[in-house]
Amino acid sequence: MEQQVSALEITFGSFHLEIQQSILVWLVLCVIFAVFFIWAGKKIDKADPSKASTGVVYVCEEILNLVLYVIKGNLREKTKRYLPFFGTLILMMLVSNLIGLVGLQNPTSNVSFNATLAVTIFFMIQINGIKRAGLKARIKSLSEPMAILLPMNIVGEIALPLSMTMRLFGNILAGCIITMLIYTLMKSVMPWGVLGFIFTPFLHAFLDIFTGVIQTYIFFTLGSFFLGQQVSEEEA
Amino acid sequence: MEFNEFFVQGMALLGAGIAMVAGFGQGIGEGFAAGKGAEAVGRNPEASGKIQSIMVLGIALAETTGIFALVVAILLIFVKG
Repeated sequence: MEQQVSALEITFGSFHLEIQQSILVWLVLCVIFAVFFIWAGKKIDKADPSKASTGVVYVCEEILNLVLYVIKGNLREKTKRYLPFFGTLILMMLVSNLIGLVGLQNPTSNVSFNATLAVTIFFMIQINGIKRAGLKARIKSLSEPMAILLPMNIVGEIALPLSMTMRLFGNILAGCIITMLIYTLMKSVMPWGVLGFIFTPFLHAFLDIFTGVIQTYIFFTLGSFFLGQQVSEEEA
Repeated sequence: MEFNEFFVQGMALLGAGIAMVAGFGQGIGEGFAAGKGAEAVGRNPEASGKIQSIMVLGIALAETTGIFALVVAILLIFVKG
């Protein structure tokens, strides 16, 4: 997009760096999450396990249940090993998708956020696949049912991060643009534009909440499904 | 014939419109998935929770092609338009 809502510009001699609003929101979210979870971790250490949990401990338990709901069916007995990775990212992306509700720009509407996550998951899948049975067996499993299909299968593997990136990016960016268009239209026909406030809650409910939550679920279900195929020995 | 910048701009916007024809197949596919989901719930109402989550996953996967077209259209509008 050519006009970002606002950007931080740093000029240091000949060095010029422009940080877009979406990336700034992301960095601030990182700091907030880090502080919150260090604080919550201390609370959880002090909590008494024999009593019913209250306050922030309860919130953290519910977050854990949410993450387990997404990844447990796919990663099976290896869930515990990959729980910190997926837990952090699921919560991060959920808040990133929902932050459009307070008028900030979604970090997920910037393609670099999505591509980073998708490429990370892609490398995790490939490295675990090679680690499990060696490079030879991995190539052999890609050249099934016959050797001539190897290039096709490699293209299929590379298409995974691309489609994961584009699906999330397209959905969130489309939501961003549609709400921006509606607000611009409301502003330009102002005396009657007040009527627009009747429609915008539904737009936000669908484009921000519904699409955001569903896309988070899809992204990590797919990621953990393909990772689970490589790391989990147990049958589903 | 002269290709000035307005011609390029108009063609890019036209291309964005044509790219969104992909929404046709996406709509049919998603509707089919939702219809089958409703059928499955009608046949087996106890499993409605599981059917719903699988259906939403399938629908969102079917949405991918339409989203690709949308990204192409957005790029055409904001880069060339």
